[in-house]
Amino acid sequence: MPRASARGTFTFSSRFDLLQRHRLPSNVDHEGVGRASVVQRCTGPGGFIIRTRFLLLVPLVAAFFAFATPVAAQEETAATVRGSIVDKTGEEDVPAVGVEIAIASADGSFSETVVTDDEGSWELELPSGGDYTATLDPATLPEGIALRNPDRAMLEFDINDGASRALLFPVASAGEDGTAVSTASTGGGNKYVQLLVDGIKLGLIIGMCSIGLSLVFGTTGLVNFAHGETVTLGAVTAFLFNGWLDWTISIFLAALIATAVGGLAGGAFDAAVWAPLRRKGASLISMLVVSIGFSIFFRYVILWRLGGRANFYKDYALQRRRDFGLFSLAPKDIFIIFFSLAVLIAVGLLLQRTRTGKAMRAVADNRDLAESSGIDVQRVIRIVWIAGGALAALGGVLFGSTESIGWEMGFRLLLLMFAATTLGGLGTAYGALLGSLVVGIFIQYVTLVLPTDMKNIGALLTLVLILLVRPQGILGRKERIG
Amino acid sequence: MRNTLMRLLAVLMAFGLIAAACGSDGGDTATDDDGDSTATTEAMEETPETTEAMEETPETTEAMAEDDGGEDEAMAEDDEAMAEDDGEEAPTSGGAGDGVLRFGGILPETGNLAFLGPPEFAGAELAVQDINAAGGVNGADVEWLPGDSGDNGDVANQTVDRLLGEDVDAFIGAASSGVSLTVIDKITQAGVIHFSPANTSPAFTDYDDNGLYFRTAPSDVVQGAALADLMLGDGAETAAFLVLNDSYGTGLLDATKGPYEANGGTVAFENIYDPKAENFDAEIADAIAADTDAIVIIGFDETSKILTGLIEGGAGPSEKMIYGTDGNMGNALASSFDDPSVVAGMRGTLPGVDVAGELADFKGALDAVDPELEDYSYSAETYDAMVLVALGAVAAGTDDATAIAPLLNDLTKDGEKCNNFADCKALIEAGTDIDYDGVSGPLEFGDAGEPTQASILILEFDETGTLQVDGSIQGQI
Repeated sequence: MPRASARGTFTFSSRFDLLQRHRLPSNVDHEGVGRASVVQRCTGPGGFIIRTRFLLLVPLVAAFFAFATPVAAQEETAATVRGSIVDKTGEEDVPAVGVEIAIASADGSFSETVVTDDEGSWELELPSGGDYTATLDPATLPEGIALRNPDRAMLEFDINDGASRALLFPVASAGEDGTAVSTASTGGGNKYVQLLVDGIKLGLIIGMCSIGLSLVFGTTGLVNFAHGETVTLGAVTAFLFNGWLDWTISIFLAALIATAVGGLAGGAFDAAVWAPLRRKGASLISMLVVSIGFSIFFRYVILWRLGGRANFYKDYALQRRRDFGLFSLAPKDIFIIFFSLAVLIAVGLLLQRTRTGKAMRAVADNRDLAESSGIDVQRVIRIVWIAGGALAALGGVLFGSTESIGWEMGFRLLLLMFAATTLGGLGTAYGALLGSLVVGIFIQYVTLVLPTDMKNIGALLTLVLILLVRPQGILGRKERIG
Repeated sequence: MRNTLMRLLAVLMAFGLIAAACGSDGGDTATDDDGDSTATTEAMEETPETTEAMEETPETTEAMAEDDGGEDEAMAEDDEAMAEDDGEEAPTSGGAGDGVLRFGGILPETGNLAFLGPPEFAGAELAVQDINAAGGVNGADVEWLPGDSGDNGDVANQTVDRLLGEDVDAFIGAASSGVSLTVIDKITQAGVIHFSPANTSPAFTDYDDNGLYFRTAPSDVVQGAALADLMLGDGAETAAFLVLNDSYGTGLLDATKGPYEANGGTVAFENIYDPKAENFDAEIADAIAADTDAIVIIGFDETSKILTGLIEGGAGPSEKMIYGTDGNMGNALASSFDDPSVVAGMRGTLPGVDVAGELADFKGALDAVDPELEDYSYSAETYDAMVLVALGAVAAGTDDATAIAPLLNDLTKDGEKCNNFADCKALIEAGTDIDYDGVSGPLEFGDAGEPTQASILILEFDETGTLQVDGSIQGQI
C-alpha cells in the first residue's frame, strides 16, 4: 500500500485504525464513525495492517480512553449532536480544547453550552428532534487557531427524533492578524499542459484505430460502421489472455495476439462479406447498412460473452502518475504515446515508400486507373482490410490499458473516429492522424469552458466549424463536384 | 410512388396522434389534438379521483374493483373510438385482468449498473418461488418474465414494449432512476404497475404516475443526509463531488450537499460527468486539483475507471477520504481491481438491510437461487416489491393492476402484522387488514407509494476488498 502524503489523511486513517482495533462501545466514539442513536450495529472489519504511524498515536489513545464514558441509555426521542474541532493544517493535528459551543432550539425552549474536551470533541444530547442553532464562540478558541470561515460560526440545523448529527466548524492555524491562514493548493503541474498531454494520448489512440476506417473508405468508398467492433475485438482478445482466463501471458504478447486476430478478422470479414458484395455490385448505401447490421450483431455477441461491466488488464492496471513538472503521466501512458506515435509514423512511411503502400494510394486515388495500370485491386483492398483490422485491434488494446475494456468501447470511439477521419480528410493516412490529434486535444480543452459532460459536443462543434471552412478536411484535396 | 409516400405520411401522422394522446398525462398538452382524444384524456383524468376515493375505504374492495372495471371499459371504448379515428389499432391495456398475475422484469443485465442485476433477479425468482409455493394468487401461479433494462432508455423501452405485449400486470425495476424515468409514463399510462426495488431519486415522490408507481427503496433524501453525516463525522471539512449526470446522480448530490453544507462542510468542487465519456482525465485532474479532504463519487460501474484515475493521480482511498453510494458500493467494484486492497478504506452508504450479515435465512435462499451471487444489494427490496404486489392481487381478487395499485399502500401499514406471503395471504383471505413487514424493513408506505422509514447501511471496504457493514442509520422522511 502506498504511503500517504496528502494532508488530512493522518487523522482519518489513524482514527479509523483506532476504532477498528479497540471496538469502542458505540457511545464513546466521539467522532461517530457509523454511529446512530436508534440502531447501532458494529461489525468491525478485520485484517487491517498495522501502520507505523499508529505508534505516534499511543498518547492520544490513552487520552481517548480517559474520556470514555459508559454507554448511556437513550430515550426514544432524544437526539444527539456531536463534532470535533481539530486544526489539521499544521504538521501535527492540534485539537481545539475548551471551545464553547452554544446550542439552542429555534423556539427557545432549549439552550445549553457544551465545551470541547482534550480531543477537541464535543457531544450533546437534545431533548427531542426539531430546529436548532449551534454557535461557536470564537473568543474561546485557543491561541493560534482561528475559524476557517469566520462568518460561519453559527450553524442552523434540523434533526429528527432519535437521530444523531455531526456538526463541523472547520479551523485552521491562525496567522499574526488572528485570521486563518489560507492553505494554498499545492497541486503540481500546469492545467493547460496536462490537458494537452492527455489530449495527445487520446488523439493518438483514436488515430491508430481510425487509420483502417480511413483507408477502407479511401479504397472502397465504404463507411464501415463495424470498425468500432474491431477495436473492441482487439481489446477483448488481449483481455482474454490477460485477466479473463485463469492463466495469463504478458500484456505485450497478448497485444501481439490481439493484433494478429484483428488482422485476420479484417481479412476474413472482407473475404466473406465485402468482396462478394463488391462482386455483385451492391451499392455503397446497402453496404453501409450491412455494416451497421454487423456492428450491432458483433457488439451484442461481445456483450453476451463478456458481460456489461468495465474490465481492466491484469498487467499495469494501476500505475502511479509520475510528476514531470508541467504535467504528470503514468509510465504506461508515456509508453502508449511514444509507441503509437512510432506505429503511426511507420504506417505513414510504408504508405509512401513501399510498393504496396503506393498501390494502396493509387487505388484510393483512382481505382479504374490503378486497375488498368496492372494493380491487383482486390488484393490491395484485402491488404487494407487486414492492416486496418490489425491497427484497430492494437489501438483497442492501448485504449483498454489506459481506460477500460468494455463491450461498447469501440462503438463509443466510432463517433470520434468518424470525426477524426472527416476532419483530417477522408481516405488519407496522415489526415486521420492529424484529425485524431485535433479531436483528442479539443475534447480535453473544451472542458475548460464547457461542463465536462458536454465535452464531445464541443469537439464535434469544432469539427463542423472546420468543415465549413475546409469541406475536404484539413489534409484532403479539393475535388471537383459535378 | 407519390401514393405510397402519402400513405406512409398518413400512417406516420396517425402514430403521431396516438403518441400525443397517450403521451399527455394531465390533459394540458392535449389541446392541439382533435376533440375525440381530448375527451379520452378527460376520461382518463377521472381515474385518479376514483383512486383517491378507493384509498379512503379499503374495506369495500370488491365493489370498488367492479367500479374500476367499469371505468376501464369506458377507457377501452374511448381507446377504440380513437383507434378507429386514426385508422390504427391501439394496444390493448396490459392491466386487464386475465386470471394470471404476471411480473415483468426491467432489471440491469447489461450496462453500467449490471452488478446490481444478479441480486435483484435472485430476489425476484425467490419471491415467485415463495408465492407459488403458497398456492399462487387467486388460484393461479404467478409468472415472472425477466427482461433487461440496460443503462439507457433504449433497451428499457424495448423491454417494456415486449412485455406489455405479453400482458404483464406489474413491472419490477428499473435499478437506475434515470432508466425508470424513461419508461414510467409508458408503463403507468398503459394501466400497469411500475414497482422499482432500487430507485432512490427524489424525483419520483411527486411524479404524476396515476398512482401506479411504487418503490421499496427510500428516497435519497435519507441517504443524502446519512452520507453527509458520515462525512462530517469523519472530519471531512471540504469535499469534491464527481457525479453521474442523471436523475439519481444529481438528486443524490443535492440531497447530500444540503445537509453537508448546512452542518459545516464546504463543497469545494463538483463535477457532473457523462458516464459514457471515452475518458475521465479532465474530470479526475480537476477533482484532485481541488485538494479537498474528501472525494465523493456518485456513480455506477464507471466508478472503477474514476477510482483508477484517482489512485494513479495520488488521491486514492489510502491518501484521501473517498466516499461512494449505493450506485457503486458493491463487492463488484473491488473485483475490478487485480489487487482489491487498493479500495480499502473507501466508505459509503447503501439504503437497505445487511442481507449478508443479518438475514442468514434469506441469504441462504438467494444463494440457492443463484450460487454465484457476489452482492446482495436490493435483493430484499425486489423480493418485497413482488410479494406486496401479489398480496395486493389477493386483496383485490384480480390481477388487474388498476385494482391492485390503490390497495398497496395500506397493505404496508395499520393492521395485523405479518411478514411472509403465506401468512399474509391467509389473513387477507380471512378478511383481516394486514401490515406487511418485509425482509427489507417495515415499509410503511406513505401516500407517494414509497417507504417513510429507511435504514441506511454504512459500508467500508476492508483490505481484501470486501465490503464490511460498519453500522447503520435509521432515517425518516
